[in-house]
Amino acid sequence: MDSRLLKRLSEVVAAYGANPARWPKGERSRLEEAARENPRMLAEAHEIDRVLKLASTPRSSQEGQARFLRAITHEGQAHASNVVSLPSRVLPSPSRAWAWAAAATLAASLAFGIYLGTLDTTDFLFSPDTAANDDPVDLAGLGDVSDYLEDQG
Amino acid sequence: MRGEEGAKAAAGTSDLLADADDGALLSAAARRNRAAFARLVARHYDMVHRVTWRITSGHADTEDIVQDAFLKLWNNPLQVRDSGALRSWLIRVASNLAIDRARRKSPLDIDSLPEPDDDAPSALERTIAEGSANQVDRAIASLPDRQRLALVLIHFEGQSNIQAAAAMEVSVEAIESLLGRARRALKERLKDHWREILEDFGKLGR
Repeated sequence: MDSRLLKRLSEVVAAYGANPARWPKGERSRLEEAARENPRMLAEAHEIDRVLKLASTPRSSQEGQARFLRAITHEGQAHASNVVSLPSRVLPSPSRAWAWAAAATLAASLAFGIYLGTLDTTDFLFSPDTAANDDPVDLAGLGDVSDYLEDQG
Repeated sequence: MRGEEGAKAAAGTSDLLADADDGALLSAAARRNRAAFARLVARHYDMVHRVTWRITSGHADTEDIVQDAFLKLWNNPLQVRDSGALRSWLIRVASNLAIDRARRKSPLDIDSLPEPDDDAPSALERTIAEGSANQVDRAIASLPDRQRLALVLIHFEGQSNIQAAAAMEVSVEAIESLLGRARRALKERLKDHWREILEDFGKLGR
């Protein structure tokens, strides 16, 4: 018998066990033939297969599955019940007269600004005292600080 | 009359969903169709649960891990690009979650493994089965993660080497190597009780 085939049989049996149903499909038939002629090659794998058969069986998952599906469904219902559809609110459209009034006010402000810009001074906008006083320190009243400190000292 | 029509329509929809392939169900689930997603859950939940149960050795986290995997799917069904590989995707996500959790927590307390299902017909058989099952379970639980997963997919789930390789994102050669090492390690770990376990197997007439 081909030594390569026997070597392959030993590799396959060591990996997949003695049950040909678990062997790779493409190699199964020729390996089965080789195994029939060399049954002792399967002995150890048979034992391991038997031992694995003694492993515990997983418990049923029906309960967990049902619980999971309930949670998914309830999640959807909870989301749906949280959504309250409100009637769409129609905002009153401003009347045309109000729109014109606002536009006229803005235009007047712009014209006044341009007019002020053409003048050399804006002093006439302030009271005569304020307009005449150019000293910012005096305006802040800080000039009196030294007198105050002397009084305190 | 309208109720009857509604019931017929619902039954028709249910039939359609039952026949729909994973790709169609994933597309529908992406449009938040809960019935389609429920169909996917019904189709794959048991398999993912069995694999996770064996990876975690029946740890109490099993249910959470399986549900986390399905929740990831529900949150973005279109992340499964190849709908034909949904099973592989679910196994990969669930096994990664299981391995991550196991690494974050303290090492698995093998003595706390759950009792096997009560399906043995007599007290004697139950005692034998429990004794051997516990030893085998412990040996499987002590295998490295990837060896254990390969063994679970091929030996317990009956997946082909190509399916298992896709789920684990490794080559078929790597799957064979992992399986071979897993089986050798199993025998090595159980060598002191090997004959007793095989005798137990004989007594159970399995």
